Amino acid sequence: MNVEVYDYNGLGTIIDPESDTKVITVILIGKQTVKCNPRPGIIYITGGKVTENCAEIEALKTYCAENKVVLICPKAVDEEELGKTYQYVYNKYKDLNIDIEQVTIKADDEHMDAAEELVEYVLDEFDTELEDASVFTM
Amino acid sequence: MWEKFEGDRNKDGIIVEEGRMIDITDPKWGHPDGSDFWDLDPKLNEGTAMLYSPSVPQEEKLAAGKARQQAYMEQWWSSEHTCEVEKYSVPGCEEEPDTPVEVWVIKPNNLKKRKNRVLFYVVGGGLTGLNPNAYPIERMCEQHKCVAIVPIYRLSWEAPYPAAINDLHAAYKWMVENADDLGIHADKVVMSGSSTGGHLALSTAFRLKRYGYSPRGIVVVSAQTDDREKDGDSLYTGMWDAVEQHDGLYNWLGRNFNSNRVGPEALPNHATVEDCIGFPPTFMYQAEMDPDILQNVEFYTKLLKSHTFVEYHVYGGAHHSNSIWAVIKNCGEPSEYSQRAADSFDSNIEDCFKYDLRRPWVVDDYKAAFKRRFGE
Repeated sequence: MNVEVYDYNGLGTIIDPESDTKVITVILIGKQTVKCNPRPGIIYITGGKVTENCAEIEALKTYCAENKVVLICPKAVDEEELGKTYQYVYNKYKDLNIDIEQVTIKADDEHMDAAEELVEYVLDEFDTELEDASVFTM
Repeated sequence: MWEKFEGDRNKDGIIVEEGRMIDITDPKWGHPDGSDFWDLDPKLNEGTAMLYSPSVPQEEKLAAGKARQQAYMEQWWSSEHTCEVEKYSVPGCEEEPDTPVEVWVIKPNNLKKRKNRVLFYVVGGGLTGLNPNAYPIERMCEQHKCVAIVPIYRLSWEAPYPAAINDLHAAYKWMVENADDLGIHADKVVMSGSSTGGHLALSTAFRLKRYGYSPRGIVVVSAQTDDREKDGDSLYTGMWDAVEQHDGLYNWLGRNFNSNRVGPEALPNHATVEDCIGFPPTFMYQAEMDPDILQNVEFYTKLLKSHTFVEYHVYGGAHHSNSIWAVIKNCGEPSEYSQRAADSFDSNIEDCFKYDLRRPWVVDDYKAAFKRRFGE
């Protein structure tokens, strides 16, 4: 499976496995292929350790492909900046083919505080009650 | 003609010639599902009408108005509430700093710990009565998981324009300045109201814009948008018809009535397109037989031209207090028909909270276009 790794608005790195697709009919125009079966999204906070060239990138790509999840890996660690990542996902979840109801927040051991703050921030700013943040190790 | 007219005029001598206005008392004019609140007893409205009648002395209006307000308030405070209601006295706004305003904060029990959504609810009543019992404020708080801010603004028999706008401005300012203590998110405020509540919500938004406040959205029902009658409107008699709107707004605006000297902070359709640039997302629900329906449409087109996010819903065969609104305000028996309107209304409020539909870039786009055309 093709897994894309790309930067999002300079905020960090997204690891995005190929989406399922389907063909839809656009009335009077023709047929068009669109993404379907939106995937869960994981905002993975590591303080910017995940990059296109990091040592673990192949393992992370494999994880995303096998589990059909999208990893969104912000560089930031402070609440406001991390909030921009959630805002990005919230605004773009259809383009990203993410199920916005299935977004979770994970972090490495070192950044669990930031992850918990982001869960609170999302509740404050987006009225969305996410699952408690959990540890995820590369 | 309707019972309140003797021949072609009402008791204040306002002429309503046959052929110029149409008697809609016959429910044939209405949508059948909304007809249960069609044939109104004019006596129901006598208490209101005297409060803006030009032939009633001011002292009499004050005494009657105060007595009626007291009755409304006694009813409210003696009723059982599903939400917690707190009462505050807050400082006046910049334009009338020495006049404090009573503000209610209504909190349902399904709130978050902090940063809650806010419904800034303006109670309606023709600027002659402020009856909170007539609106489902608590139900809306529970449904949208939000805190309601309810300003007790001054009515037309207490103080003319711009007193009510000053009071609403003061309440909004106080709310923003005390957001953390109130447990609210100052950037998640939706304004709402029916009839005069809608009118004042829209007009106050023009005031707020001038002071740099930007509500998340405005969702209103049967809002009055203009005091200036135009050819082809004000066609019908009924509850809150052209005569009542004329007298009600005349009582509020005094010698500024039917004048272009006052702007959109008095009545929203006094706005120019330029005034509307950067206006909050607006959702309007109107009745076909609202007396100023054509000015309503005109205001809607101004919002469109200014690229404001705007939706306009007008219900055919409905008058100002028709039972189409029975779920949104307490008039008539709720029915499937009224629930349909309420569902749409509630979904607009929810959308304003959930998404930020404001278009701040509109202001920048206009500035850039102006610069391109006219230089620095």
